[in-house]
Amino acid sequence: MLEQFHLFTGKGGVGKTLLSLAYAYHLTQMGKKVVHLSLEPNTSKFIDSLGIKEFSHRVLDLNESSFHYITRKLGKVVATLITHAPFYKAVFDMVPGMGHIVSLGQIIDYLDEEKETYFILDAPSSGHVLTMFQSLDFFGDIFSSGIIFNDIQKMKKTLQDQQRWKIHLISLPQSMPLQETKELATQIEQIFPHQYELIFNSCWSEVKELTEHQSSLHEHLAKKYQMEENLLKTIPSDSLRIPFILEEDPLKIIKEISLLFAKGENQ
Amino acid sequence: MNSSHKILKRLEMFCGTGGVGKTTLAASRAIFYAKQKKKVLLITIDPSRRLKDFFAITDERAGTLEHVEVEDCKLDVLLMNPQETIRRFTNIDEVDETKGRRVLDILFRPYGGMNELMALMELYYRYQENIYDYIVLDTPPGPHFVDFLASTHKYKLFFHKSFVEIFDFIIGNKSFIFENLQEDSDKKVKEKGGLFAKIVASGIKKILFYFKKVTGESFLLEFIEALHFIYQFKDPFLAASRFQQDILQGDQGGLFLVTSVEQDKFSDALVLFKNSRQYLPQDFTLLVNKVFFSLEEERPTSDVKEIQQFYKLIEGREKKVLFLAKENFSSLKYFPEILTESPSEQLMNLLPSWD
Repeated sequence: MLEQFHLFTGKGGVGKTLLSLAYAYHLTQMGKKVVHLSLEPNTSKFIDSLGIKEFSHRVLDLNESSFHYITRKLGKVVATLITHAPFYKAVFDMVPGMGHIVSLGQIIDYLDEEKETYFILDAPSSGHVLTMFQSLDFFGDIFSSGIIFNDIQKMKKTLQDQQRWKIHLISLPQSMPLQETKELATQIEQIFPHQYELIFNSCWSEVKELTEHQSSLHEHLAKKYQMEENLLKTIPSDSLRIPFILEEDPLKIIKEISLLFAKGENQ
Repeated sequence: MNSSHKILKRLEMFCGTGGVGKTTLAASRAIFYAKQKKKVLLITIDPSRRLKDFFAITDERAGTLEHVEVEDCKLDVLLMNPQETIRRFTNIDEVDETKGRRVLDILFRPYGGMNELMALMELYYRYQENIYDYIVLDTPPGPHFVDFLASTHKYKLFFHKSFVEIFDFIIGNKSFIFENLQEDSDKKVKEKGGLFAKIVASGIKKILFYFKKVTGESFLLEFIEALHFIYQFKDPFLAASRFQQDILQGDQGGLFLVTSVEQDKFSDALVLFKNSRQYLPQDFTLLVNKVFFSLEEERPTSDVKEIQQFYKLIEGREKKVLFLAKENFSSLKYFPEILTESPSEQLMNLLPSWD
């Protein structure tokens, strides 16, 4: 059984958005109902061409999502009153962790209501996504009662369920991104053991054309190839490696990577 | 006039989208100055603290000034840690759980709500120390840099005089106020006049009532104590805000926007540039990182069809970035792609590009 919720994260510039779209496309090709949510402003054009449904961005807007949360819990009149107070605005900005909890809570409610729909989240980069998860524990410890306390307990229960979701941790086969990935993986391991998959994006050594003609590469590029290959030897062989795609058009790249996901899952 | 002893300082900021090499180029810039025997401080306010990879600093040392030496170049390096910054300005260590310590710990964690403000205060403090010729600043990626620039506004709202006053008052009268949060006590509280009446009229009482419903009373009390603690230090906070406005609007700095030919993300860099402009009216210099083809004397070619196609693709991407770079920026510099496993070698190899 495939997990219903897929979260893509990693250092900036590793290709989170592209891979999350490729995964979403792969699921739609399998005939699944899929929604995709991204922080990136420019994803809509791809989403339309790929026939993926876009989830309302408002979930990630901390002010909007807190408004919806309070509306659901205490009604619209109260929500309007609270969220329009200058004091509330001033304070809410200071506590992004609470906003994260509310956003995550809305996604989890959606998953419970729409059990047949797969949710792909192109999440913020490393540290920010970690804070989102850690906030559940930090605030969960302090809230001893109240509506949000029960919600956090429910969210934690869902997130502990390995069948429900999966983290796709993306890296590049270069030393600095790998270092950051290792740090993030160690910390995720502490909160959600065995719930993440490591993906190396843009690997030259996975490109047949380059592997076959390695010796013809210019000295500099040959060295780059070699460094990458050496680095990949140091990481677990069961991690997914996505080749550098010899294409210019992002849409074609997304489609090609989606085929690799399909292949990976069939094995 | 006592300003004559003031050392001429320059604050240089490096910004850019994720993974383009901000930290690498900021570090090489700091070494560039250090090599000229200037006194340099290199700070990262990006919570991911990648600067540590270049100078072998561990996370435990974050917040402490490190004196490092790279091939005879001496410089100071600091990985900003909001928890250490707040210690310098306040007596946070004396605050216990009943006074909101748990909430404060959350707010002052890296990636917590106070990160930008602490970055600003750290910078202010180092600037006031007045011991460096150059301060080089490595910033968080993309929109988080704009958040840093915009933070003055956010904190001004937070430190508004009327909030500070009301919270002092609430803390002083918390048992009475908390016993009468429900709606039917409005009249009773209002009758006490003064700030009691203001708490009702401003709607703050109502908000506290609903907050209590959502988060529970014990959290609300801890939260108010935490806010009250932060409000005590409003003056240094506001001084730092003024500093941000003065320095960022002034002409004492260098602004570098970093982009990389490896990524097809020039449009994101432009968005960042445009969003930063409203806070930083000065000119930016665009740094194009990891350039290869355009810096080769002889253009690499190959007889092998597959390799030729590969070259065409990556060269095309590089050309596209360089074209857009020239189109949008009058001041720009190219940096070659350096392939080495040694961080210090990497920094040294980038130095000639700064001349």
